[in-house]
Amino acid sequence: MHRMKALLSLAAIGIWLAGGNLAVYAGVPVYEIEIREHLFYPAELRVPARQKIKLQVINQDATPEEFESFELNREKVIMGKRRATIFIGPLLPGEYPYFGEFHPETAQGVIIAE
Amino acid sequence: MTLSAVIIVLREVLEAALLLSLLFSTSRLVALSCRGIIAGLLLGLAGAVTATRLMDAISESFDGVGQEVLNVVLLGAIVVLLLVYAAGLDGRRVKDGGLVNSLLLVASCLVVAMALTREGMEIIIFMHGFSADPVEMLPVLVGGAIGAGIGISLGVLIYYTLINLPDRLAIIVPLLLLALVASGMASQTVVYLMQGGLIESQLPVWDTSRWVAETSVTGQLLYALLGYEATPTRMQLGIYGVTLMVFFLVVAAARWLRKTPHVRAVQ
Repeated sequence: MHRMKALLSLAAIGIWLAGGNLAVYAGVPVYEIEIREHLFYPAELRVPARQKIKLQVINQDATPEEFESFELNREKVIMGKRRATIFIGPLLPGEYPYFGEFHPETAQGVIIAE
Repeated sequence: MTLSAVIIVLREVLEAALLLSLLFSTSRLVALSCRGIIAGLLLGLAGAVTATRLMDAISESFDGVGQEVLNVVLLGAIVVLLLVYAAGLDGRRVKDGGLVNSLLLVASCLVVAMALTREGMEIIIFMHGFSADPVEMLPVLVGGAIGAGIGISLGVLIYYTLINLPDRLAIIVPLLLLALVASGMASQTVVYLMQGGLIESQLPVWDTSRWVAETSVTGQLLYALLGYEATPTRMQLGIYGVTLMVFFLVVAAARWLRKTPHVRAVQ
């Protein structure tokens, strides 16, 4: 009996942790960021806070780049002349810097959630 | 350019070196052959090269989130295999040989192969991006060598620390470290699932970036060891906790089985 209760509580905790985890794509705003000559355009991107966002990162360079942000917990390689989809957020209002890990001296940008 | 090459290569090598030092030291502890790990190293190199060659196709697959799917699969498999390995380590000491032995060899081989594929992939893609330009290539190679050197040295240091632990800590400490590394990886799968939009994202539970920034050396070490993240989500914390718990339960169960081999044989 106790074991049953323990299992039920574990399941309850699991459901709370998962918190309604069915992915919903409809209505997710899409934003584009381009990489050219190891620079991000726009370098400053404003997005709505507390909402899931779909980023399309388009690499116009022939060389690969890695979109990386510690603040956003995101990391993704984008091969030369390719595009990548990265979901971010929901974000609390604030500034979230990102950079190109393969060319960090120039490839810098910031996403501003407001 | 040299510095960013040092950082990129060091970050990847550090994770792999930590895992390798844990596997090498525990194998030595229970007198298990290192052939599994060595085979894993070779397989992993081949895996990294293959994955790099297929990277365009991988990236395009699954509606553009193939990289995330690949990472989730590799990380998930590594976590499960680490669990098998940790449970088997205790069994191995019974000297019931054969099956446990092969299980440990296969598990260590596959863990190394998959971890190396993951870490190696990024290094190769990064290096390859500069191969067209010999002027840029040299500092990148030098930086990469320095980064790899630091990472491997740290791994060797951890290995010798672990094999020189006093007897009563000798098996517990590496098992605990394996459990932490595995839990960190499990929580990382959640990040990839969210990044690919495969599960619903969540707001972070807390923000500890003011105390330990992920960009700092401490942050990077903690990341390799614990999967540290300054702004984890509820799901990440949950998976982390569950993996840690399952790890301890499985190891405890293996230990219990080891103590009662006759009972099982009679039944």
